[in-house]
Amino acid sequence: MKGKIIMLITIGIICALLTSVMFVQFKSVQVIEESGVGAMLEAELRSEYSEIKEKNAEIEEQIEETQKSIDEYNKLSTDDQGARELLREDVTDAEMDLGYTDVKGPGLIITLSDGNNAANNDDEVVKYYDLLLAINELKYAGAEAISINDERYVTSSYIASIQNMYMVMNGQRITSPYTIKVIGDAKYLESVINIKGGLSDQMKSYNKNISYTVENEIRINKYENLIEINYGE
Amino acid sequence: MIYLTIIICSILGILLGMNLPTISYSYSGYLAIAIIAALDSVFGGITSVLKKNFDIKIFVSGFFGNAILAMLLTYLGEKLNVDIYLAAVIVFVGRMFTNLSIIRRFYIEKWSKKFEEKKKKMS
Repeated sequence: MKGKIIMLITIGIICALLTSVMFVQFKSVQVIEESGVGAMLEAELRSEYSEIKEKNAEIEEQIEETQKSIDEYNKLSTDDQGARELLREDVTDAEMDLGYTDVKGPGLIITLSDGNNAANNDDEVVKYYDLLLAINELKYAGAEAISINDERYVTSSYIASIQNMYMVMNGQRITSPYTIKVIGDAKYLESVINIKGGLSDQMKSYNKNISYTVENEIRINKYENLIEINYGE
Repeated sequence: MIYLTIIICSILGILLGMNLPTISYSYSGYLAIAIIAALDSVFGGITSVLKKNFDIKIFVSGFFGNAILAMLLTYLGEKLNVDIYLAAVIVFVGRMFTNLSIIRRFYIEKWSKKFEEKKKKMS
């Protein structure tokens, strides 16, 4: 009798346990499906995770490669011969930037000159600001080297009007007509000159003459003077 | 008597389960495999009752032991990246079918015997 009661209680407990656990599971599955946080999402997350992992590995590889090339450069720079070569390259680049070397290349030759009635009308005379405007616009168009009347325009160059009588550039007197040689992408340079309200329009609106030719090869001479630096460090 | 206990306790369990909090998705897989194992034990128990070799100790130990073992195997499978729980499901569900067929045969034989006896009495 006692054994039977124990058996009944055990079976009852087990039945209650099983059904309650089953219903907890039913409910959980329902909630998961309703909220959409189901197996799909987990699978998606997994695939995304592995994708990101792969990308990460790729990026790490790239970093390693870059590190390797940096190491090589370092080795080259500690190596005497390599250092000299690197320095020479740097120096030629810097010289070209500063205007210390003759430069050849495609570009434009622009001619600016005073208007036909310049003797009577001061407005038709080409002024220093016209030249500065031209240089600025050409630089905007990606000009790599500029010269005016074969005077190289460099970082320390200036164009000044002396008592409104004549113009000085790099210490040399320049007079009309002004021949601006410019090396760069001829297409860009041309389009910037011809842009509405640009250099060409401004010149023509004061009856000043402007003309240009596109050249395949222009030679611009180097800057002859020294750039002195006394105050900067 | 025993059927009454089973029904009452099952209803109690359903009510309890309805009011318990839900479990998170990552654990529901373990619970599912445990439920399959427990169901297998229950059907095994019923079969043994019909065969008259039911032992409460074997039943209880099988109920909990199988459930825990199935969960552990599932966990191991997850760590090994092998779906071991599939093996557990196949074994438990296969056994459930075998036990169910035994139960079915038993009751069919019983009922057909009764039917024949009635026929004899009628005639």
